[in-house]
Amino acid sequence: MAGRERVLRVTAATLSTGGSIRAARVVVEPDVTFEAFYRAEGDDLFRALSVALGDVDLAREATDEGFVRAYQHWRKVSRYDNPAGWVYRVALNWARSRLRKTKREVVTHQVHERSVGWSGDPTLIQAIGELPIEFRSVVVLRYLLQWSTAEVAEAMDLPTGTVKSRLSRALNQLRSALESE
Amino acid sequence: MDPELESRLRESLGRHARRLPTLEGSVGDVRRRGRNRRWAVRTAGALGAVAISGAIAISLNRADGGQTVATADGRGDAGDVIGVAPTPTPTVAPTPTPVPVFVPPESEADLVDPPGDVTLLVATGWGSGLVDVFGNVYVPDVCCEDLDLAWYEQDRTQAASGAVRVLDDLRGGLVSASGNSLYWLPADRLGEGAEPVVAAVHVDESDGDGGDDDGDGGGSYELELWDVIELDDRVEVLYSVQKVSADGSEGSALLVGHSLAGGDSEVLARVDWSPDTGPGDVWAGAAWLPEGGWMSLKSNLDRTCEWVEFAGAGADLYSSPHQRPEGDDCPNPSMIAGAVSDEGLVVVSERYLFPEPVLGVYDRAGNRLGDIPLDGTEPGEGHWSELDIVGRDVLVSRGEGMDPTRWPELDETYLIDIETGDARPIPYWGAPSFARTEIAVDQLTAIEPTSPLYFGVETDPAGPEPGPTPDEAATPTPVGTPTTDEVPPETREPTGRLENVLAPGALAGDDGCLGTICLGMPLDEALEAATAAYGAEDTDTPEAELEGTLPPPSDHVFVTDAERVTVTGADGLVTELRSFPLADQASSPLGPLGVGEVLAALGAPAEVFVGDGEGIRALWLLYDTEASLVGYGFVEPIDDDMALGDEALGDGALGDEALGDPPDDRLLPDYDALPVNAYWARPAGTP
Repeated sequence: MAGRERVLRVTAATLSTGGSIRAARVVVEPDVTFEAFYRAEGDDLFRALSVALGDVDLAREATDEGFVRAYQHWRKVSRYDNPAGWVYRVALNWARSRLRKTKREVVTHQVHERSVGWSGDPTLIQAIGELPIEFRSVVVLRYLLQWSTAEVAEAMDLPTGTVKSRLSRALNQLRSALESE
Repeated sequence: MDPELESRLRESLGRHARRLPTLEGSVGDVRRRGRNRRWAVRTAGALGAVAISGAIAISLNRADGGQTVATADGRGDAGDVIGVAPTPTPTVAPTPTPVPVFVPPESEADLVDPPGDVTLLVATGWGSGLVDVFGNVYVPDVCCEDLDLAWYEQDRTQAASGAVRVLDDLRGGLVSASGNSLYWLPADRLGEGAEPVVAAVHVDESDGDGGDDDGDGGGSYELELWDVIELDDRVEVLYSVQKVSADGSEGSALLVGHSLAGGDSEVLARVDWSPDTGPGDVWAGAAWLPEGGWMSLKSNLDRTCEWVEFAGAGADLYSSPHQRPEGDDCPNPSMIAGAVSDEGLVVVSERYLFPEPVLGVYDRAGNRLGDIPLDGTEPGEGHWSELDIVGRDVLVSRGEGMDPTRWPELDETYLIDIETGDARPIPYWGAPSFARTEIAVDQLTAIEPTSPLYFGVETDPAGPEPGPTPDEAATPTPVGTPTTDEVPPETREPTGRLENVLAPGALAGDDGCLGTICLGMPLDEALEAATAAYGAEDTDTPEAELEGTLPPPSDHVFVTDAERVTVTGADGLVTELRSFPLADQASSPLGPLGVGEVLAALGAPAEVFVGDGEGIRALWLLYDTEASLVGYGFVEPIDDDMALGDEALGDGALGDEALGDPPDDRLLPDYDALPVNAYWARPAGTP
């Protein structure tokens, strides 16, 4: 938003595109180039969307779509407090729209098994995959990208209370799933 | 919260994420996006390292329909133009060239009725809906979609067509085929939870298993509905059934006439095939003939390379094999799809035979009357996948291999006039993107305007009011239609139409302005002014939602802020402007969104679309001539570039719980975005 004070950092570490997930989102300088933003955020957003959508291919397209739109409106988007959150939301909306239009009523955990290649805690992973996408999309931001509740709320354009509610309900559902095992 | 669980989540998600691929290293591909509106270009090893090499190129739509390709690579600043794509062929109403040569004989022409007062039904197998000849889509709340999907679910593996056909002569009865069964739902049983009658079941007695359709170890059935005729004492269905063995080497095909009321079936024709004879015939169309008898269309795949055959039981009908051109190896069937009209006119989608896919038109004796050439693709590639005939029009849908730059509406169907070749797109809604390669249009039929299914919205248990006829819809006279043709924007005066309708509020002043918004102002400027006045912090409107193609002529965009309503005409300029009457806020079904303003400006009946702000769907409202809400539901954008997601209505405001199950798959007109706090609206039945 115009006129707001911004925290401005884009460090070398955050520009790495290896396999690490940062502990917090990158805050973008107002004049940061689109390339730097893309380099800093692309992989993380792609991974987050992969988990949220349960489909790597769809996530790849959605990530591209989000960045394309960000690029088109970079002058404005770059001034947002959290451009990555905007891209995530746009990409998620795009993917959901795509899914609705194509009636791809996929069972998420099956998709995970096929295309994401889940590893690690299988029970928990499957339970995550069975969460409604509304829950999964905030869980990913909160626990994978490790954004604060407020940052998730801003990114998803939701009231903070809604985010907290979704997280709480998601955790309850995950807990129930784990206990039933 | 649960710290232990949260920790476990972080650890598990993080570990998993590290194993996910990255964008970097993706092998280059060029993919069309959003109906070819933009491309994202990847080069090997580029994504994720944008600054290193030509990394991401984005094409931006130009006003003239062309695309400017910009790059965000390391060779210059983001936004450098590296190429300009040519202006594509117009995306709306592509006109095949050259002009078709087909001119039906006068006697034939007399037999074929023009589309006239019909509504078309398109059943996709993944949902269904009613599409009128102008492309308006209506989804009734009484039938079709749920039933179709439910039936489809009965046997997903076998119901290749998912066909459902509305029997217009039965005033809304339905016939559907799934697996090996023919289902019938009489009109008087329509409604939620209705159970169809199993009208016929096909079993293969030759395998000696007592009739179980899987007794041969995995063979499958496929029923295709072709025609229904209502006679004085009975209703007869014409359909084909194919049984294919598990390995596909053997099978049989039947053409069956079935009396729904009497339950009698007659096998009109039968074809068997085996490894010795080749893969056999496939029914591609059939119709009852007005004078009695029937006619069918088959694609013969056997080794004689006959590629299309007409057959009928009438005295003047005969089989008419058509040979491929000499020298053709005929490795594949040439006829992709065909249809037979009620009068025996045959249209065939042909492949390989001609440099470009064409629609061949034949009379019932097999004489080729002419072509409808379609300038659509490279020689030898592409085809029209499904087609049907309605009156003098042929409905086709794009098939695999069609050049998307020439036929950009990937998922859409076209209604092509047989005589003139004029093609107009019927926006195709809700179809899975992959359907274009296989099944895009399964069934098409005409529905009388008096049918309960016509127009799709039924609120009166005693019986629905018939919707407007297409003739009426073809010439709408919306109250709010801007009159911008003759008066330059700078001098345009308020029309006063709103004043005639609404008592409260005030029109623009003598200076043509109301606050910071003035008549003649472009939409984006008006939005900016409205946003600024309302407070940028709260109504930030993404630029993306202000750009792109404005709604087509006769459409209106309504933008409200806290104080004003802005009505924008087809030219994108503000043509109406007035203050926001609080009375209407209170009475509106949408509260502060002021639908009353929209209706007042547009006139009734009208349809109003309100974006959900998430780009997922929009609320659709239908108002009758009394401006009463008679229909509502959710619709999905046909365009990927729907609103990107600002807080127009807030989370959950459009939840299913509040408004009931949506009539899914309604059509939104093709537009780029609904601005925040904006409506898109049109007179009901607007072409």
